[in-house]
Amino acid sequence: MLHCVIPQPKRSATHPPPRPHLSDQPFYGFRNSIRQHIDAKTKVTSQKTTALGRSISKSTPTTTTSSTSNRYRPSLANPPRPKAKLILKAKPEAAVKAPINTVGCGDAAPKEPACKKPTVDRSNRRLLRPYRRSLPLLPLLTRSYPALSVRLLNQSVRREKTGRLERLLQAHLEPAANAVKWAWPNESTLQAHVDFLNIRWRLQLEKALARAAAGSSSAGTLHRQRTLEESRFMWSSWASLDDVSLFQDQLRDIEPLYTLKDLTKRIMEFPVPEEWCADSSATAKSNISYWLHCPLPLPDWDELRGTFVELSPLYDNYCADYFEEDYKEVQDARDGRLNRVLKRRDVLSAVKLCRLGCSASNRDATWSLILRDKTQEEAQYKRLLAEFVRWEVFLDWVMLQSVMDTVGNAEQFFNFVTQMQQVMQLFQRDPAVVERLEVGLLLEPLGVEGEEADQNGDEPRHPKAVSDRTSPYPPNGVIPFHEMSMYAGPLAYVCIRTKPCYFMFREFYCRYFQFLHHLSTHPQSILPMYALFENLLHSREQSVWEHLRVKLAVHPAKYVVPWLTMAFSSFIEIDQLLVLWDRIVGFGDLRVLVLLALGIFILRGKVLLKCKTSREAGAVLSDILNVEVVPLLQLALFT
Amino acid sequence: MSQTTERSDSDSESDSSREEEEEAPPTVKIPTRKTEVPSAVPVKFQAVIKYHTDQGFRPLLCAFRNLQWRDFANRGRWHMFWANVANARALFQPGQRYYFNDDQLVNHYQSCYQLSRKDNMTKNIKKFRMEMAHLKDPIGKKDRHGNFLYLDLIAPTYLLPFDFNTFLTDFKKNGGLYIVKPCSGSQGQGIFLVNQLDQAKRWQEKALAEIAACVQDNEGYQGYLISRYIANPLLIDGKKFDLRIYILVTSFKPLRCYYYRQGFCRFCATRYSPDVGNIDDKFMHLTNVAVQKQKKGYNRSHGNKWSLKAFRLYMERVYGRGKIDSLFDKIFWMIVQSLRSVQSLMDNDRHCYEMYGYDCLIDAHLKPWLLEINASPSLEDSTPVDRVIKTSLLSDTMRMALYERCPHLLGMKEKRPDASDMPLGDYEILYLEEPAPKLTPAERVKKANLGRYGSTSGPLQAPPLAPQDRPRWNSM
Ligand SMILES: Nc1ncnc2c1ncn2[C@@H]1O[C@H](COP(=O)(O)OP(=O)(O)OP(=O)(O)O)[C@@H](O)[C@H]1O
Repeated sequence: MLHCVIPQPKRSATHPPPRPHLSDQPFYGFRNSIRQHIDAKTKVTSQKTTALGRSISKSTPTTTTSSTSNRYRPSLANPPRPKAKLILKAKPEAAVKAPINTVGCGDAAPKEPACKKPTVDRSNRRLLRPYRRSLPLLPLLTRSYPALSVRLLNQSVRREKTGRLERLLQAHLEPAANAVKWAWPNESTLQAHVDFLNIRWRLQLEKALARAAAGSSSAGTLHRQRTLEESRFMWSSWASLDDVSLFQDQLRDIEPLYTLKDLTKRIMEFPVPEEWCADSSATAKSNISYWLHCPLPLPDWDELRGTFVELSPLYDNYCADYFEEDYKEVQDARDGRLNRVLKRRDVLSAVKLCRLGCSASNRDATWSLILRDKTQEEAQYKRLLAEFVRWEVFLDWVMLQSVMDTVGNAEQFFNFVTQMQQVMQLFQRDPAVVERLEVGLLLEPLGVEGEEADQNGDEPRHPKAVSDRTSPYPPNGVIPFHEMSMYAGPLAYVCIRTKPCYFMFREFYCRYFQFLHHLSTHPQSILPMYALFENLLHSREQSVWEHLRVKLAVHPAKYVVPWLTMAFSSFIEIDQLLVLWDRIVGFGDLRVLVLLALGIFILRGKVLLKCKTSREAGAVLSDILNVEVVPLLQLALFT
Repeated sequence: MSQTTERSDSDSESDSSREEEEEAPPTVKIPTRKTEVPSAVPVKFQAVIKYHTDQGFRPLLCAFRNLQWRDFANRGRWHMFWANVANARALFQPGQRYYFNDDQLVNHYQSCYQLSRKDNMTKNIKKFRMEMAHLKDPIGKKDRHGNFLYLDLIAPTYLLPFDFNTFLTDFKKNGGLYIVKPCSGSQGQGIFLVNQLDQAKRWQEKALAEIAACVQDNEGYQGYLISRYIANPLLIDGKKFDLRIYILVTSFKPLRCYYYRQGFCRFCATRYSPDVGNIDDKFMHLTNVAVQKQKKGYNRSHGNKWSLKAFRLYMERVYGRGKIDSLFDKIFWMIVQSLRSVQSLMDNDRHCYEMYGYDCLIDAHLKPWLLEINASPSLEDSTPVDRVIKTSLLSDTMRMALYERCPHLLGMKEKRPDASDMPLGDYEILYLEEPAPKLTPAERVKKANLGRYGSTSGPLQAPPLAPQDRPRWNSM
C-alpha cells in the first residue's frame, strides 16, 4: 500500500512539454548517428530554454579557434583587459537573452512553464548581474595562463592574476554559498551556476597541477622535449610500462590531482536551494543537497520506456550467462544474425542488435562498426607514438602512477596494466580529443609554449594551438582524475591490442565518458542523471527514499554518483559490465546507467528498509559486484 | 494512466512478499546474486542445524553464519562436521568408528586420498585407462603412437623410485624439461625442475634412500613423482597460470558431481620464458599462491587471481566461442573421468561428501592438463574477492550436501523427482548418473525469452543434465 499515494513531483507543473523523443525521429543509419542524436537533443534543449551557461560553454571553444590567435597574445607583461565588446561578439544571444525568468520561489509559486517568454524579475537580477558580466571574462583572464613554465605560472600568475581571479570569484561565490536561501526556478539559472562552479573548479585544478608539477622531480616543467637518450629509453620501455620501477625517480612525489571521491563530494555539497528538497525538514539543516525538485527537464517514465523499449522482456535480451541451459543454441542463432549484419557493414541493424547485447566474440566488431572510423587511425597512431617518444608531459607521470594504483590493483584488470598504460599515455597527448570536448572545457585549456618546437621550425603541432607558439595543455585538454584509467580497463576485454583499444577508448571518452565527470546541465552528464535518479527513486520507492533520507540520513549520492561517474566500471563484474556498455553503445544514451542504479535500489529496497543504521545501509549499497544487469534494467523500467 | 496502474500492481506484489519477509530474522544480510532474487521455493531450515568444525577460516565461519546454523559446542550431536582430512578419517577408524546418526554429515570420504595424493591419482588414472582400453570401451581408444585419445588427462608421470626405467626410456626419447614433486607435498614445496639426466638420477637415489630408511623404521614413505613439464603453457599477458575449479561430489556410486561457477585463475607474477636458464625461478614456473606470496611486491588486493568468468570472457574474445566451449568441455570431461577412475575404490559412505579443488593447466594448443586434485583446497581469504567466493562456495556446498543426503533438514519432505528443487546456488550439475527428465520445449522457450531474471524467479533453475546431454564430449 505504500506506493498508492504518490504525490506527483512538484516540478511537473513547471515542467516544459516533453521534448520530441529520440524514437520519434527517423533513425540515422550511418556511423555518427548517435552523436547526432545527442546533438539534436542538446539543440532542442538549448533552444527551448535559452541557456546562458550552455551557450557560453558551447561557444567558448569556437571563439577561441576562430579569433584567439590574433586577438590575445598572451603576455604576462600586460595582462589582457576584459573587453565587453568581445563578449557580445562571442555569444550575442547569450548576453542579450540572458534568461531572467524567475518565477518566485518555493513550492506554491511556480506556475509558468519554463519555456514561456522570459519575464524580468528585479529581485533576482541582482544575483545574475555580476555573474553575467564577469562569466565571459573569466576565459579572458585565464588566457594569461599560457605561462610557459610552471614556475611563472606559480609565481606571477598565482600571485597576481589568480589573486584577481580569486577576488572576482569570491564576489560570485558569496551569493553561491548563500544559495540555499534562494530559489532557482529555472534551468538556465542553474546552468549558469553550474558553469560558474565549473570554471572555478577548472581553475583549482590548474593550480593544483602547477603545484604538483612544481613539487615533483620535473621541477615545474609541464611539457618538454625529451633528450635523445630519454627518447630511446622511453621507446625501449614502451612494452614494459607496467614496470614502474623504471621510472622511480620521476614518480617520487606524484599524487593524483583529484579523485572520484572529490567528484562525489562536489555533487553532494553542491549548493542548491532549499525548495528542491523541500518535502522534509530533516535535511534542510544539513549542507547536503538533494536534487529531487531541480528544474532540469527530466524524462518521465513513459519517455524512458519509449527510449529503452528494446530492454523490455518482450525482446530477446542477451545477458551473458554461460551457464544458462539454452545458452549455446540462443547464442548461436544470435551470433549468426550479428555476423551477417557485420558482413554487410549495416550500421543501422548493428545498432539495433547491439541494444540487445553482443557476445564476447563479436563485440569488438560490432562496437567498432558503430563507433570507430578506421581510415585515419593508422596515421594518427603513428603520430601519437612519435609524440610519446619525443615529448614529456608532466601528466604522464601522474597517469602512470594512477594506472598502477587503480588498474594495477583491480582484480579484473591487473593483466592489462601494460596495455592500459599505453592507452592512457597516448590519450594524454591526443589533440583530437580536445576538439571533441563538449563539457567541462568552459575555459580554454591551459596553453604551453612549444619552446623546442620553435627551434626545430615545426609547425604548431596542435590544430587548436592558442597561438602559433603555444598549444593546449594537457594536449588533450583533459585534466585526468585518479580513476580515469578504469574507463579503459573493460575495453581490454573487447580489443586485444593497444591500437584498437586506444581508438575504442577515445571514442568512448569523447562520446560518453566526458559527460560523466564534469558538472554540466547537458542531459547526459552527471548532474541531470543524478537528478533523474533521485526523481525516479522517489516515484518508484518512496519508502526507501524516505527511509534513507530521514531515518538513516544516508545520501544516496554517496553510492550512486561513483557508480554513474565510473559507468559502473569496476563496480560490477566484467561480463555484466560489458553487457551494460552494449546498451550504452546501442542506445547512445547514458541514462541506462541511471536505470541500473535504480534497479539496484529496488532490488535491495527491502533490505534497506530493514537497516537501522547508516553503516548497515552503507554495507548493503557498497557491494554490488554480483548484480546482473539485464534483469535489473527490466525490473527498473518495466515492472 | 498506465503509470499508476502499474504501480499498484507492483504494490500488491511487494506487499505479499513483505509478509513473507516478516518471519526472517532482522539481521542485515547483503543479498548476493542467488539469494536476492526471490525463489519460488524458499529454503528454510526446519530444525536447528548444528555445525562442528576444527578450522577457523573466516569464510567458513561466515558461511555458517549466513546459513544461520549454530555451533554444536560439544553438546549434543552435530549435523555437519567440516573437518580436516585427518580428523575426518579418524571417524572411520576400524574398531573406533564414530556412530553416525542418519542426519550427520562429514566433508571427507575415508578414502579421499585416492585422488588427492598425487601418486594415487596417477596410478588410478593409469589403471582406469588400461581398463578402458582392455574393455574396448570407445573412450579407451589410442592413436597410432599408443597415446590415449580421450584419456590423455595428465602429463606423462613416473613414480620414483619404481618407474625409473620407464622414465629413462621416455627421457632418452623426448628429453626436455621434467618436474619433480614429492607425492604428498602441497603449496609448491619441494618442487623442482630438472632437465639433465644426472639431476633425475640424484632424485632417484634420494627416493631409494628414503625407502630404505622407511623400511628400517617401518613407516610410510613419501616418494617422488617425476612428470613431463608442460613447457608451452597458455600465456596471458605473458604470464603462466593455472585454473582452480571446485567440484562437489555427493556420491561416487552412482556418481553425482557438480562444478562451481566461481573458480579462478592463479597467475605467476613473472613473465614466462621457456629458457632453461630460468628453471630455478619458481615465480615464473609455479603458480601456487603460497609460492607467489613470497615474491617481493606481491599484490594483496588481487593476489594474482583472476576470476574464471573474466578468464572466459577474455578467452572467448581471443579464440572465439567455439574453441572455448570445447576447452571447457574438455576440462569437465577430464574431471568426470578422473572421478570415474576411482569410483570403485571409494567407500560410498552415505555420511560423506567431498569438495575437491582441481588444478588444471592449459597449454598453448588449448588442451587442459590435470595437475593435481586437492581434497582440502585452501580456504584462506587472501583477497576481498577471495572471501566473497569462498564464503558462498562453502555455504552452497553444505546446502547441497544436506539436500542430497538429508533433505528433511532443509524442510523438505521429499526431493522432487526431477530435482527442480535443488538449492544449487552457484553450483552447476556436472554429471548425474541417474538420468533425469529434461525441460519441456515450452519451458525452454519461456526461459529463453525471460532472460536470466525470468528463470531465477521460477523454481530453481538448471535442470539436471543427464549423461546423454553432453554428447559433445565424444566428438572431441
Ligand atoms: N607437469 C607440469 N607442467 C607444467 N607445470 C607444472 C606441472 N606440474 C606442476 N606444475 C606447476 O607447478 C605448480 C605446483 O604443482 P602442484 O599443484 O602439483 O603442487 P602442490 O605443491 O601440490 O600445490 P598445491 O597442493 O598447493 O596445489 C602448479 O601450480 C603448476 O604451475
